[in-house]
Amino acid sequence: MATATNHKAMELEGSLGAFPLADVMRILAMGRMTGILRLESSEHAVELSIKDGRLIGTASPERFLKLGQLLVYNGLINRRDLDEVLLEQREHDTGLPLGELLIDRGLVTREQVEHALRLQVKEEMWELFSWTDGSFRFEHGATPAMAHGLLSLDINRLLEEGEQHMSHWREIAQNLQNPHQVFAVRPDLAGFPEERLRPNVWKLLSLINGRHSLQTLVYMAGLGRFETLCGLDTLLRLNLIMPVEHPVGSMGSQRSDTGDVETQPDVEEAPVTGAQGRPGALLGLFGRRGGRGEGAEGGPAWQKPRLTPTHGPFFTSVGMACALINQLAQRLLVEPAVKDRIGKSEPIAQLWLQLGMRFPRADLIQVCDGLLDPRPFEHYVQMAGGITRSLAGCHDDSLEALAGVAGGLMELAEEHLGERAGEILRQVARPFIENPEIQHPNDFMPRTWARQWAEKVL
Amino acid sequence: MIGSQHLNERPRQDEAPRERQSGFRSILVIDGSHAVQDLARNALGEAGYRVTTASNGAAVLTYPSLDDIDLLVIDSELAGLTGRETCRLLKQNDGTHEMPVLLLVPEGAVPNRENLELGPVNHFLLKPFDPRQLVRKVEQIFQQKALDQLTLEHMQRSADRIMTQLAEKQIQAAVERKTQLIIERCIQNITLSVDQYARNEVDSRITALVSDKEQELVKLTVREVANSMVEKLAVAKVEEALQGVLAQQTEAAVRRVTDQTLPGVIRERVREMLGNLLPREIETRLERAAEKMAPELSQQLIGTVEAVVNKTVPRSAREMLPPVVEGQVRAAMETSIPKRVSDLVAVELRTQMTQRIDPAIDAATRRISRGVLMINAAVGFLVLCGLGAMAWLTFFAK
Repeated sequence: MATATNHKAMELEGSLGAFPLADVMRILAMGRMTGILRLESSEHAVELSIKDGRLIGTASPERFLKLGQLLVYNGLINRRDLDEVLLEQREHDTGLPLGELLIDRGLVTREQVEHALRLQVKEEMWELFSWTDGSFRFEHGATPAMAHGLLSLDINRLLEEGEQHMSHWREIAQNLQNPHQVFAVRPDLAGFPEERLRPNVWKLLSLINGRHSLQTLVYMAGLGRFETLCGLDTLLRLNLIMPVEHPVGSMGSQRSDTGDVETQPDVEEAPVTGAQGRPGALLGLFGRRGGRGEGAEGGPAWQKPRLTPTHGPFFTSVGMACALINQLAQRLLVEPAVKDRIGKSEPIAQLWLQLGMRFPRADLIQVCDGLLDPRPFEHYVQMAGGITRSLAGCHDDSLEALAGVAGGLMELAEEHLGERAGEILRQVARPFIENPEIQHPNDFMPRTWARQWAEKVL
Repeated sequence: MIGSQHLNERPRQDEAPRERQSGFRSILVIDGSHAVQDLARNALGEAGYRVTTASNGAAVLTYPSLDDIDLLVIDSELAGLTGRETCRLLKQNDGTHEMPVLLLVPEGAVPNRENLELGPVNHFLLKPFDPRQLVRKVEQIFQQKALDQLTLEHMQRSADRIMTQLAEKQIQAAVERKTQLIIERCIQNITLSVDQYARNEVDSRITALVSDKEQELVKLTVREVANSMVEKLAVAKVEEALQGVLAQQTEAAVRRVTDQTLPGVIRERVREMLGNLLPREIETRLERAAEKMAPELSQQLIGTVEAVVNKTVPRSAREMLPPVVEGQVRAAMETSIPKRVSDLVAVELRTQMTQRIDPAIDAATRRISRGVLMINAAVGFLVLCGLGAMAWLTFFAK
């Protein structure tokens, strides 16, 4: 460890291999220090803000759990509100952290933000405690960048908690290494389990539907990675759930169990999983459902999927977006350059699976024969008589997910076709933008929306 | 952001009045689709219900507070543990068999509603559903449940009333029977107690009385015995004393009387007798004097003794005195008088003789010639007279 007086600030630096993080933090806590502790490993870099020997925040470029996501997954705010606040934060650059902005708007309470921040910071700390190599550097007196006053953790207590967790954590992490592992409820449950589940463990169990991967469960549960893995471990030990085979095994030869997330830089790390991946039999719950009245035309409707019309009028904006993406995909796939590269794999199915992880409420849209099928969603819209408040969440998530799919598709096209990709998109999108006929527009403005959406995609 | 003002409206605005209406009923919604979960949560949440969602049947069985769930809305075609199987498990469990269940049945999978095997499930709704229809159905289930509850409560109240009346009657009869028994037993007990008490009381009274009487009797007896004994003792003592006293007194009196009277008398007599002895006259005079003096002397003696006795001896003793005195006098007379008299007579005789005989001797000497024999005879006569007097006195004393 080297200590040097550098101008005004005292610096403390060394290797984490020689001085474990816990010891360093204990020293900082004892000395009631204020400053920034920068930690760097070969893969990650994290900054810990310390004030008077207490941890007041962490910052990392590739943060695993972002505060906004955490709040959305916990159902405390909706995605629309989050997006608006994030936009405002970017545009006005007030310097206020997201948490403060959300509190100012009355979307969440201070306690809720504090709880989420505590969870977020603790998660990062458990991760940091497991580092065996890397370096640290403490800048004494440096002003913590994110001193928003919402968080102040006692370092000693944090270290105690961390020590308790670490042994358990390593054992669990060993068993649950694969982030793409999918879990399903055991079908052979013969009765009420004797053991009572803790609320957090039950919350985790309630999310398991045989389609979400471990990684997705971590996102969706909003409990943090540690709590999620502990919960999964408990559920596995109680024989309530079981690991199941990755459902995308049949989707394409080039797709491995680890997924090829790297090819989709726009998409946040999200594993490929879910029953939607298998057209037909693996379509999941709504895969077997056809439109009302269509089932009468000989055999169950799901056996002969009929997609929405390629040109208007469209029943909903989601239907229109699906039609646009389907046409774009069909148009791209006939291009020899793309066809040769992709082969028999279904890019839309893969993209949709990835996006579905981020937008679970979009799961009414399914993939049939390599194309997006919005009919289950539209069926609900039809039943509800429009996009009512109850359906707003599904609608929003579906559009967000579809935008993601369109973006992914365009990236794929640009990768293989270069600038021609844009040209093809404009050709395909023109009729949709110029004359979007939507039967159930409700009260939103199709033209504006279509333009916005197209711009977003482009 | 894509969307409209309508979509931006927050669904919580009208929650409060609806919540009051629904009374915060808890609904657990189980569906494999997050979209359907969200749809149901929004629709039912807006209607004021407290909604919890989950993706699988196992979550129902492991729900931490299943007792607080008022309705389960569950998809029939869940992956893993199906909705129907979950329902079956719920119905088999004592704690959950009454939980109302709304089964969401995919339309395509239900060829015929009539043939739909609902089993233990109470209600069903075809998917996809209109959110309003879901709310209506749920409300209908709760209304039905409330109605059932009301009916049940009414029936329970009626049953309670009937049972209460019956029970009251039974209790009354039982109480009466019991009371009668108790009273009878009490009376028996009281009678027994009273008997016992009375007996004890009488016994104790009798004992007390008897002891009193006995004591009195004993006292009387003792007193009588004592009295008699004292009397006897007293009598004996008095007798003893009297005897002692009398013996002394009588002896003394006799001695005194004898001392006082006899010398003179005897002297006189002896003189007379001697005078008469010699002459005839002396003889007769002495005889007469003796005859005269003896009763007088006795009378005097008796008077003296009586006076002494009167003075010294109490009445009771006095009563006994005469025989005693008699005895004593007799004894005294018997013992002392003869001796005394003889002594006195001898003394007197000697003195008289001395005085009288000397001149007479002179004369006699002169007349000796004539009557020495006469003198001897006279002396012999005098002795005989004395003896006779003594015999008389003795007789008199008797």
